[in-house]
Amino acid sequence: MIRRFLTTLALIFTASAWPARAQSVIAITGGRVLTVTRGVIENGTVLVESGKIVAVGKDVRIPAGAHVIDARGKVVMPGMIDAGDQLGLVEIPGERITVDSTEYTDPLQPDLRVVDALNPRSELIRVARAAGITNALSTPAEGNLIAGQSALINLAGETVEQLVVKSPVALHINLGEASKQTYGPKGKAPDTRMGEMALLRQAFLKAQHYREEQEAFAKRQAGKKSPGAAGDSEELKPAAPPARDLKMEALLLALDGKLPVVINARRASDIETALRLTDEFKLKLILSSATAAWRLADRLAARKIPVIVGPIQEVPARMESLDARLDNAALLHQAGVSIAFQTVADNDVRELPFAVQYAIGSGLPEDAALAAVTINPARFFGLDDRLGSLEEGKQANLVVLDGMPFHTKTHVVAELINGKVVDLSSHQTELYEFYKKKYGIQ
Amino acid sequence: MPQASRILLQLSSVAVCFHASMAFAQIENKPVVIRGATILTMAGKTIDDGVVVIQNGKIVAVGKDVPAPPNAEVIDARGKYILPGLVDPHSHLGVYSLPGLEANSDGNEMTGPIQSQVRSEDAINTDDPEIPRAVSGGVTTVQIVPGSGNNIGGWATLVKLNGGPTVEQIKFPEAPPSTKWAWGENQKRSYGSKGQAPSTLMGEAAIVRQKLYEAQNYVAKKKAWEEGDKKGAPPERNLQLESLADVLAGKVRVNIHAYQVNHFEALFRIADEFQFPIASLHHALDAYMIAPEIARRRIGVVTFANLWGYKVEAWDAIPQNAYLLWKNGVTVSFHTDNPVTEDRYYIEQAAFAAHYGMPDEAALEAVTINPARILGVDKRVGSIEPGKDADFAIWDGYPLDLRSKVERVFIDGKQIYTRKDGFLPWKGRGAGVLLEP
Repeated sequence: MIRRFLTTLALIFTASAWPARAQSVIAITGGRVLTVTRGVIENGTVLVESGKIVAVGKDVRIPAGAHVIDARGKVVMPGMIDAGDQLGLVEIPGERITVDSTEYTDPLQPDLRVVDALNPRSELIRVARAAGITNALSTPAEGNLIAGQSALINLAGETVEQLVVKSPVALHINLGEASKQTYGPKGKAPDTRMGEMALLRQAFLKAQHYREEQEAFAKRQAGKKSPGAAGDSEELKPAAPPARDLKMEALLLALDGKLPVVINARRASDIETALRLTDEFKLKLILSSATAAWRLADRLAARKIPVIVGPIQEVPARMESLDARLDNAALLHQAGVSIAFQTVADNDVRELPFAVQYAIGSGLPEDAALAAVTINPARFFGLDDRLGSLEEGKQANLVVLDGMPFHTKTHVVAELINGKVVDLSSHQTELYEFYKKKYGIQ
Repeated sequence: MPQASRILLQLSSVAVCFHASMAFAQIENKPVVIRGATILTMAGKTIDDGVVVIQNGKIVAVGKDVPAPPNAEVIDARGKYILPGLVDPHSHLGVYSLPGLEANSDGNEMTGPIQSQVRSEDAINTDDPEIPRAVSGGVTTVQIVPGSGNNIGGWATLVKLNGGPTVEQIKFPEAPPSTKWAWGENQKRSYGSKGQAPSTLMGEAAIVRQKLYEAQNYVAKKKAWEEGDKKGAPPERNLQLESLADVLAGKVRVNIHAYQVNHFEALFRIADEFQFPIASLHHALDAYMIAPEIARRRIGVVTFANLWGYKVEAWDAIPQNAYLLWKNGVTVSFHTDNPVTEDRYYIEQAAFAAHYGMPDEAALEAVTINPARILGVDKRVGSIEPGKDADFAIWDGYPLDLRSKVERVFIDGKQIYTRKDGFLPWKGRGAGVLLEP
C-alpha cells in the first residue's frame, strides 16, 4: 500500500516534470549518422528540440545552451523497433499473476486492447531499452484466434500516456496450432484449422451484418427526420438503436481498412489461409511469424504483403515450424518482400541485435537488416512520419553506439526517447555494480 | 554407479572401439593437415596462420611450423578459425526431441521427486533433428541430462554428436558417471500443485535427506550381509538407493540445477552432512553473489549468459554472472538447456558474455575446455592439443561474431559436417527439419 502511494506521488511529480525536460535542446555531434532513409552522414550532427529531430547534417548550427553529446568515433542511428513482443504486459512469465498477455477465455477477442494492460514501470522495459531498442509493438500473446489490438510503445515513460505512441495499431489474428491447442482440449472450438477459419469467417460476417443493421437504423432515423416523410404511427415511435457490440466494432475497424490485420501464420498452408481470409474480407494484411514465408516469397512480393519475421532463431519445435530457417529474412528480401523483425519475447527482447547478426550471416544485407528494425516496421504500422529514421520532424528516438550495429562488441552509450536522454540502468546493472565493487573489480 | 551400469559402460567401450574402427576405415589412418587458420586452442594460446595435424582420430600436432606428414590430405583454411568442438554440459537433446510433441517428451519422469534410478540413455532419440543442427553450430559433445522437474532427475549421458544410429555408438567412451539433481521452484510447482510433497524448499530438503538416509541404511545392510559371510539371501537390490549409494561413495559427478543462494546453501548443507562432492551447479543465476564460496568449494558453475527473469528464482540474473565467477576463480561453463535455447546457437552464450565484458578467451573457454573439465573429460576434448580427440570446427570468421558460419566439423578425426553438404552421416536420409546452408 505504501509502495502504491509512493508510486502515485512519483507519477504526479514526473508528469509535471516531463514537458520541461523534453523542451531542452540536445545536440549529438561528430558521429557517423545512419539516417536509414537518407544514407550515412560521416561526422554529422543530429539536433533535437522539444522531443523532435530538428536538424540532421554535416553543418548544423548548435544553439547556445544545448546539451551536447559528443559522438565522435561513434555511430548514431534510429532506435530499434521490435515489431512484436509482450513488453509491458508481462513481468515474470512463470508467475501467472504478473501476466496480462493471455486472456484465454474466448477465442474471439478483437475487443481486447493492449493499452489497457500496459505497465510503464516494468523492469523488462528498462532492460530492453538498454540494448538500443526504443520502441516495440506490444501485442497480446498467441493462444486466441482473434487476440486483440496492439499498441506501439516507447520504451520509456512514467505513464501509459507517455508510453504509447499509437493505439490501436493492428488487429491480431493467430492461425495454426496455438488457438486450437488452447480451446480444443477444453472441448471448445476451435479444435482444428477448419474450425479456426469457420469461426473467423463467421465473426467477420457477423460484423458486416452489424454494420448493415446500424446503417439501416441510421437510414430510418434520417428518414423520420425529413419533413413530410410518410410513415405509420408505429414508425413514429422512438426506436432503440441496435445494441453496440465492442467485438463487432473492433472487427469493423479491420473491415474498413482502418486497422491492418497482423496474422500469425507459420506453416506455408496457414500463410495461404491468411491470404484467403484477406481476399475474402478485403483486409489489410501484415504477415507475422511467417516461418515458411520463404516458400511463398514471390507470391508475397507480388502482392506487396509486408512480413514480420521472427523470432529469427526460431526453433523448429512445433509441427507448424519445421520449415524454420535462418535465411528466411534473406530469401524474402531477395524476392522483394519488405520485412521487419520481432522477438515475440518479454524478458528477452534485448537479444534482438544478436539475432539480427544471424540473419545477416545468412545473407541479409546489412542495410536491409537496419531497415528491418527501423523504417520498415514504422511503415508497416503507419508511423513512418514519426519513427524509423533520422530526419527533421521525426520523434527523437535514437541511440549512440560505440560501433556499427549488429556486432557482438558494439554497445549502447547513449539513448534518447522522445527527445529525452534515458537512463540505461536497471536492476541488473545495479546488482552488477554492487558485486563488482564487492569483489574489487575495476 | 550400479554394478549393472558399470558392466554396461565397459560393454559400451568395447562397442565404441568396434564402431570406431568401422567408421574410421574410410579415412585409412591417413593424416589430415589443416593449415592457415587462426587456431583458438583453448590451451592458453592462439596461433595465427597455424597448422593442425590429425591422424587416427586424434590431434597429433599443433603449431606454427609443423611439417606436413607425407601422404597427408591438406585442407587450406587460410583466413578461417579453428575452435575446439563446443561442449554443452546441460542439454535435453534426444530426450526432448524436435519437434516438441508429447510423444517426444521423455526428459522428466514426473511420478515422484526422487528418480535417481532413471537413465537418460534409456530415452535418447538418436534421430533428434537437433543433432545435425547442433553440429552446424560447431557443437560436438553434449551431456544429455534428465529434466529439472524432480529433485533427483536421474543419470546423465555424455554423447558425441557423430550421427551414430544407436546410443551405444554416440556415447562418450569412459565418461565419468554423472547425475542430475534439481532444486527450487520446479519441484514445488509440479508436486505442490498436485497436493504432494514437496511444496516448499523445506520439503525438498527433507525428501532428499530422508532418501540419502535410506541409501546409507541400504549400504549398511549390504555391508553387514557381506561381512556376515553372506549368510542367507542377499538384501534385495534397489536401483534407486543403489544409485544414491554411488553418490554417497563419491563415485558420481553430481550436477545440480539451482538458482538462488538459499538453494545453494541447502545443497551445501546436505553435501557436507552426507560427505559427497557436488561437481557443478547448473543455471545458478545467482552464483555470482557467493562466488568466493563456490570457488572455495571447487564447484563448477554451468550457467546462461542471457536468460533471466522467467521465474522469481531467475529475477536477479545478470549477464555478468559468468564473468564475476571467472574473476573469483570458479570453473565456469555455459550451457543451452536445449531445447530451452537451441544447441545450434550455443556459441551465442559466449558472444553474449563477451558483449557484457567477459574477456573473449574466458568466454570461449566457457563453451569448450571448462565444460570438459566439469564433466571430467578434459583429457579428451575441449582444446586443440596433441593427444586429444580430433573434435573441432572450422569457422569462416571469428566465432564470437555471430555472422560467422561453421564450414566443417570433425569428430574423432572424421569430417562429419560441411556447410555445402550438411551433416554427412545422415546425408541423403533427411533430418525431418531443414538445415539451410
